[in-house]
Amino acid sequence: MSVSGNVLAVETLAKAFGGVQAVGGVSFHVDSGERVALIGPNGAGKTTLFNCVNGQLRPDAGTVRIGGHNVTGHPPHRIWRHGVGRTFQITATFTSMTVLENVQLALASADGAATGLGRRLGKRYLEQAGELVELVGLTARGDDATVELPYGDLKRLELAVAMTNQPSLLLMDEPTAGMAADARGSMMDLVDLMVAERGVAVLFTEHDMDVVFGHADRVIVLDRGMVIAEGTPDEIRADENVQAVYLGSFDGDEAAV
Amino acid sequence: MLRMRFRTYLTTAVAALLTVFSASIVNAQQDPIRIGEINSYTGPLASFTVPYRNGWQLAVEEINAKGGVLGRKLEVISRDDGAKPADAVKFAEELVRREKVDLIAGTFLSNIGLAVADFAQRNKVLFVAAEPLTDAIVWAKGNDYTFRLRPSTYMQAAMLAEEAAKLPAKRWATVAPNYDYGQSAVKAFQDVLKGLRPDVEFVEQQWPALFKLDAGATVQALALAKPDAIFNVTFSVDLAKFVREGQLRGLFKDRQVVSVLTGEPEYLDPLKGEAPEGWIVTGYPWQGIESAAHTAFLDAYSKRFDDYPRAGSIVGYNTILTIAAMLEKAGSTDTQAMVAAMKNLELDTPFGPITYRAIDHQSTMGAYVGRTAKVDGKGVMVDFRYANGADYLPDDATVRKLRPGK
Amino acid sequence: MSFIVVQAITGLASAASLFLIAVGLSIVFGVTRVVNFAHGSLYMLGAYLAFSFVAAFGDSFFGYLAAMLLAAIVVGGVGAVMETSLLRRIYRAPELFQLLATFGVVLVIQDLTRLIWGADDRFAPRMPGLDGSINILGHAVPQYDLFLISVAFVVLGGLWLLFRHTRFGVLVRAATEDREMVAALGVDQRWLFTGAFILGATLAGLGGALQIPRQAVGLSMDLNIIVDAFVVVVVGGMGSIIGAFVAAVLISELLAFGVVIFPQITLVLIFLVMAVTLVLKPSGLFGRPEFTTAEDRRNPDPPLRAGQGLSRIFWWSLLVIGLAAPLAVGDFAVIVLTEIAILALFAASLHFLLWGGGLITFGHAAYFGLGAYGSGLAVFHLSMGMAPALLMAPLAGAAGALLFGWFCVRLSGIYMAMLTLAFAQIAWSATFQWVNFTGGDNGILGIWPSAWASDPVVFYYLAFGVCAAVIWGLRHAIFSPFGYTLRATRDSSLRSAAIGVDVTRHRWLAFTLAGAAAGVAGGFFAFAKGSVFPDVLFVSTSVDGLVMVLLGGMQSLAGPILGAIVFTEIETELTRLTDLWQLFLGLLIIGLVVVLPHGLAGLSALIRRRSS
Repeated sequence: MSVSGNVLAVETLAKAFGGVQAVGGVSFHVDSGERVALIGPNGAGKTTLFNCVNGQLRPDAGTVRIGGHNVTGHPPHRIWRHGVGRTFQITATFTSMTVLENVQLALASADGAATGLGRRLGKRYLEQAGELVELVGLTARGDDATVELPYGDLKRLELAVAMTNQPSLLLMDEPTAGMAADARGSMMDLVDLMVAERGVAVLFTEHDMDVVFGHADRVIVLDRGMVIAEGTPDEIRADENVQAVYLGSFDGDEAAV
Repeated sequence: MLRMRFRTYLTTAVAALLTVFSASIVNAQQDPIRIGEINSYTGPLASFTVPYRNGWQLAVEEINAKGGVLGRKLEVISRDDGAKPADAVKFAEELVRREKVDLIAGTFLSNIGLAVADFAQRNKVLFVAAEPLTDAIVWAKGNDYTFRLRPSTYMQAAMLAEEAAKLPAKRWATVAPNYDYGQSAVKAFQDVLKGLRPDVEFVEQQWPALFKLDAGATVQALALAKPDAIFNVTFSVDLAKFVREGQLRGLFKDRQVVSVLTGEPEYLDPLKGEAPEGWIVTGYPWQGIESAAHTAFLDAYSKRFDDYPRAGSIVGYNTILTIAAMLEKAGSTDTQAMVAAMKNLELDTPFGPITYRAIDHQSTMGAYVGRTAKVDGKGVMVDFRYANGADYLPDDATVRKLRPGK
Repeated sequence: MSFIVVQAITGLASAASLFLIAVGLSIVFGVTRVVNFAHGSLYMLGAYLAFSFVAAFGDSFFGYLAAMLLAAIVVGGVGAVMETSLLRRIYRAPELFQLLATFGVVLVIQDLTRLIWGADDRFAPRMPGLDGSINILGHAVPQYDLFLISVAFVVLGGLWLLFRHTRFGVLVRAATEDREMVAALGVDQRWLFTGAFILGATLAGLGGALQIPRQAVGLSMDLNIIVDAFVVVVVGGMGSIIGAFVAAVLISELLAFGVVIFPQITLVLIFLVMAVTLVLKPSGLFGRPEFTTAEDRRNPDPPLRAGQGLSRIFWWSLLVIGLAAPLAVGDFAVIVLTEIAILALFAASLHFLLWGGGLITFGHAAYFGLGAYGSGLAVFHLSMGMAPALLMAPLAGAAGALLFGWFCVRLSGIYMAMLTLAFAQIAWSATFQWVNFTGGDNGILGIWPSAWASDPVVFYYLAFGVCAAVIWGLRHAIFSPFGYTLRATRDSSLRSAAIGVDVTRHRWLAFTLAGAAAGVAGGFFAFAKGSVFPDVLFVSTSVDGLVMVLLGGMQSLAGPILGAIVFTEIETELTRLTDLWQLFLGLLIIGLVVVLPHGLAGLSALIRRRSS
């Protein structure tokens, strides 16, 4: 079943909440090194679909395969073991730890050492952590408490943490949400760098259409739980269905929401 | 900043240690005879232990007014265990090691009595257990250093079973708090009654949790079994609930009730106008005891505390009388001499003469058995007689079996 | 058949009492998120006041009724004082600190009540006009029972009207469902909180006052009712009024019929109901999932800086003082020091869960007690010597934690706390009532140290050595990847799962580890005292542990140690000096919470602020 190059394969995935079909039989795939954006109006089922993929929700039907492994209904921590890194719409970091400790702990977990009672975490994984922190440009803040970081830096930290298990797939829920417009570009440049340097594939949801069209190789559009369009940014821009759903044009500077 | 934090830690730690240290400076005055006393003076048990404390205070004052014992005054160093066995043991340690007391006395709850008794054996200290009722303290877990004053659960139950056997009732129900005291009392009552009356049967047993009696439901459940008579072991707040619900629901109509300790003022008086009539009980009818010894005690107590004595007061008073008599007999405060003196110790008390049995270290102090009645809207005991404790203990062969190692 | 009907009515009367006490607790929790331990004390106060008022003017039906209502109003006033003078100052403090403060109030009210009314039980007369019984299907049913049932319905209806049709009620409901929203509406929260607390206190007072025609008033009323009230609130769902009602009926009817079928089980039944409810429906029958999850902790801790110069000196000096102390102090002080070493380990193991894992447990005594019983039973039934019996202690503690923890770690916040409490109370009931195995209330005696360790100083060194080693082990665990992962699950369970941590399993492991450590402490406690009794598992032991941790300071690893030292000293000395030690201890706790919300270990921060 595993198709070479398919990092993520979703087939006829469905999820309903109390009779409301949030996702109704969606299929798509993400290839190695590919950046795929998942968009759609509010209530289209993006979040539900995303959470079915990352393990926070158990789908009613359909399958999710990561690197050829059927992971349907697996909890998030097991999905991670298949090489999936995640960032959240509202950042989730370990607030009582320093920037470096956040990354060190994730590295320890990747190493299967997160439940170890032996040696202190102390300086373990410090070198690797330093590299990742440097990669996202936070070297100067390595020993600072996470709570002291500005929001944009927290997003960067999340990315560093997400990269600790050398993932083949990054799941990014609104990677630029809550960031100032000028910071969004540099955040996404960083993501592009990960793709280029580490060969990771990215599936992300996003409201900012500049980000979507500037940084996605392929776009999947959801509406009422169904895929209504799929293609390159140019194809999507031209798609009448999509335009109808969004009640407007994607051209211009305004991000349609 | 870290220096500051460290300094704070250190100051606190040192201060704490200094407290331990300074308090431990031995304060041993050889002059008075020092009696360590432990009881549960705070919390829900205070209503029982405060009259007890009055009792021993009165005895100490009387004895010291007459010049004390062996030419030395008595001094009681009293501690509140807060009804926790572990704290009672801690204070036993404190009294023996820091206060250098010559012996220990007191305790009310059975488990605390047992814990302190075990401590006494281990540390070879004499322990006069004043109030705990449990049979184990002189029998199953009896030891060389522990003597008990108050008539035990078994003795109380046996006194009542004797009366119960005279009743026509054949179908019995029991209600008792579900812990050692309730269980032992029911078992002793059943054993003795069945011995006297093989034809009786026990048709219903209710075991409410201590102080959590669900009175209405329990009363209904008892009534459902249609017993001829009921044996009650509940006390305090449980008893009040049980009496009121039972009367409202007609449980006691045409039924005999036999009830442990209910004749003690501690238990009977709070019921006031609701006090049951005609129950067969053990207790302390302080108004009606006419012996000279008791009248003297009653007068002295009423004068000293402007209150009437409770059963606990007698126990507290007799505890100190016991210790004084024992010291006179022993002639010293050497523990082995005191232990030897306790065996077969005879003394006079407001209840009459009592003896501490050598065989099981139980005193023969008895209790009054009678019926409850209402006089002037208050519960009292009538038709009572003094049941001498010596008559309600098993024969020596049985006691030897009950008390291993003796 | 007639029996069933009458028994159901009897159960309903008990349900009415239970509902009246629980509903106020539920409202207060819903609005303020304060778990008010003193609710039972307000109930007791209501009963005592009503008793006095009835004695003064309760000789007619209306006089009696007025006496009960007046008592409720006075208790409402006491609640107002308590809220404005104490709770208002600490809403921003960590939740557990609020709990500690209300526990201080419990101690104060207990002693004040004894001072005012004395220690004797007080039994009020029956209520005039409702002093008889009526015949239902051939059974006599007290008239007052029916009155009580109708009062419960009147209160239920009144609360319904209040919450639907008044601005105050709407705001209370809104605050229960979403605190932020009320803040956003621009409502003065202080007024709302005070109002809700007065309502809750008045209901507690009313609940107590309405009991006096049924039961004697005594000093054990407060702690006797509070645990049951918690159970009702939790089973019904925190903040839900109808939930409190349904839960009260469910529990009371189960008890009423349980008495007939299994007369011995009554003590356990109520906790079994709670445990089953929480396992099946974690937020109670009518509750909503709690919003305050570990993710939005109000005061994130600073990063842990391990073993830096002066902190290291603190730990070393503690070790040196601990080793040197017996040479300088008297016999009894050595025994107190032994107890301190043991309780410091107990507190440290609790702190490991509370602070390290953000796992709030009200039932840590279970594992301490299981350790004590593990050793005690090994001596008693298997005639083991001290060393092997002590080895049984961590095994017993860990086994209990493994079993109970599996259920508990699936919940969070206050529901988890309540489930831990339920399991601890079940364990306590079992030791209390399973006489053949545990010796019941009379406990297990004769658990004394082996001959070589029988000298108090030798035993102290043994206890100190082992307890210090285990405390060091727990401290090491905090700095190991295991401890970081534990703190990670506390900081953000979402992120933890996203880096491959099985959050539930990790919490379970931590629970078990802490249970084993508490078990070690329990084993030594048994040998230090020579005996074990069920009260080692009782809720008061858990509360003592919480007091030690919070007294010392939650956010410092030294906190539980300092807390154990100070608490044991204060308790030992105060109880020696005065009968009113509960009053003083309570005032001390309250003062501490208000002045030092970060515990003794937070003293340095306070001094820094003052001096700058």
